[in-house]
Amino acid sequence: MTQPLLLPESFTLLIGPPRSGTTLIANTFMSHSSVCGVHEPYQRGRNDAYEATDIAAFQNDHDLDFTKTPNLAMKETTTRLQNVELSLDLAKSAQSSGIYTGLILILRCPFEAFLSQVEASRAHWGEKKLTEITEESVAQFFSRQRTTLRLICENARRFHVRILSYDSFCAAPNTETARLMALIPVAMEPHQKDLMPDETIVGVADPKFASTRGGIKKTDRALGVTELMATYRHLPSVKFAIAMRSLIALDPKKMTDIEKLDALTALAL
Amino acid sequence: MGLGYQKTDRNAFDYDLWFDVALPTLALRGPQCDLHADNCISFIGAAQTFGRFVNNPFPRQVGRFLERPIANLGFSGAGAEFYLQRPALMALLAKSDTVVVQSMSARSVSAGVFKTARNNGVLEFQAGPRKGESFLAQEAYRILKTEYGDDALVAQRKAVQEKWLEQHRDLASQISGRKIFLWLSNEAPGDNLDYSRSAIGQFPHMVSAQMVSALPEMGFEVIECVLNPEPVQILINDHSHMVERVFGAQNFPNRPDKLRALNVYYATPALHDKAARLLCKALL
Repeated sequence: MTQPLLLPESFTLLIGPPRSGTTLIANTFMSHSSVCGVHEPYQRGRNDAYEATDIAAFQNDHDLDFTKTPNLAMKETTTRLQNVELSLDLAKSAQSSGIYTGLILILRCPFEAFLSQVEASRAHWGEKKLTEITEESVAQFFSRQRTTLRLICENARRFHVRILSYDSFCAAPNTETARLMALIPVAMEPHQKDLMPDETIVGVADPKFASTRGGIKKTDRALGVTELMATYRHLPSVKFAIAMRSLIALDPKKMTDIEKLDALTALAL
Repeated sequence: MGLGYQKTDRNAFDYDLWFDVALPTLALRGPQCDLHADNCISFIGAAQTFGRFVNNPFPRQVGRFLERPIANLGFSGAGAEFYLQRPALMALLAKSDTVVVQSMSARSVSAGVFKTARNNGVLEFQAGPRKGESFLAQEAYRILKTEYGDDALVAQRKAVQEKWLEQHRDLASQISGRKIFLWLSNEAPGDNLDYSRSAIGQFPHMVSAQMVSALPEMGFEVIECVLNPEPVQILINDHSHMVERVFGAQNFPNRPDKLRALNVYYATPALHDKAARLLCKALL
């Protein structure tokens, strides 16, 4: 007789737009000794049409053992709408299996994310999709963000939610990490302050993993952001991005995560 | 502290725990707030101030009603010495416009044969056959009564009551702003000292009417918030809306089955609402 699978005690989905600090924050979260992490299963598995959303099948596919790491975390970006749909379905499957399920939505100024994406595409990835700043590429980038965020907002209230801005994390990584860990809840471990995960979690070399141990190097893109907003503000999707930028910048001590989610939902709808 | 409550209660309540840069090791009840804001009302106390089993604890209600910044500095099991031993917390209290001190149990006091450990909810025996052993406070007092005898128990009560007063005097001397003592209980002061049912009486344990009457001369305004009978609170899953057995058999093997989904100890939403109304009236 086969033993039934040991399910995790919690499942946390960390999700956000590309170039929003999702990898850095997920790595920090997943470096906790009780957390077992999976990075971008749907994005990485897209060429093989990987679409498993049943939590037991997912566990089996990734050979996950929760005996020593009872908290499962998964990170995905909103690069493709399908990735978001699959991630949310997996979270729903976890929840309906009786697993405590959290969602951490990671946000960053969308214009900074866009510029970062262009720079990374040009410099590192050899991707030709987003190497030029044109009206078309700007409109497409922000339209896609809006569509995927709408889907997340529509589903977020099913789960225990935290919203984290990349800038807040960079400003106070220790207390923000502790706040995220308290969602599961576990106490933050000292090594998480290093902001550098175990190499086995990081996997292949990629410029987006190049955070410096113990600190975060931020590129100042203020001028580029101002220019981008001024040039393309006539585009409806850029108007959305400008409003979203203001929302993300609001002090979390003035607006709760749920209030922020409400505002974001109204914006995305 | 708060992490323990979040772990146990997470299917029914999300306490939205957060950490302030100035207090990086203390899990604070959410939502986040500016602890250093001008005109801030700080609240100190135990699980009742933290707001275990309520979505809208009285400190938050007061802040909303009065449109004033608040700092919820409630921690499970805390007594006055929890704050007195932490300079960062005392610094916040010292510069608060108003400090609301919830009635905290005298069992959370280091005196006599007990020294508090971890948060103040655990007691370690300092003398006698159990020296060096630690227990949750309720159990520690039960052992004291059965193994050390009635005289030892009476002496212990007297020791912690005197120390409780001394600590509140110390607390008051370090708070320059307005000081409010909130009696929050199902019993009026004095009625909580029925030792026939428990060695330490009812919450706030071992705090007598005489002790409360000594507080005004320390500068405290005393507000009595009593709700009796207090309706039993059924704990509900905040997503499925089904009854939630928060006190599961695995972690709470000694709890009777019929009490696994009931709050029969902590302040209920009704008591929080009443406390908020009384405090708002006083602070307006």
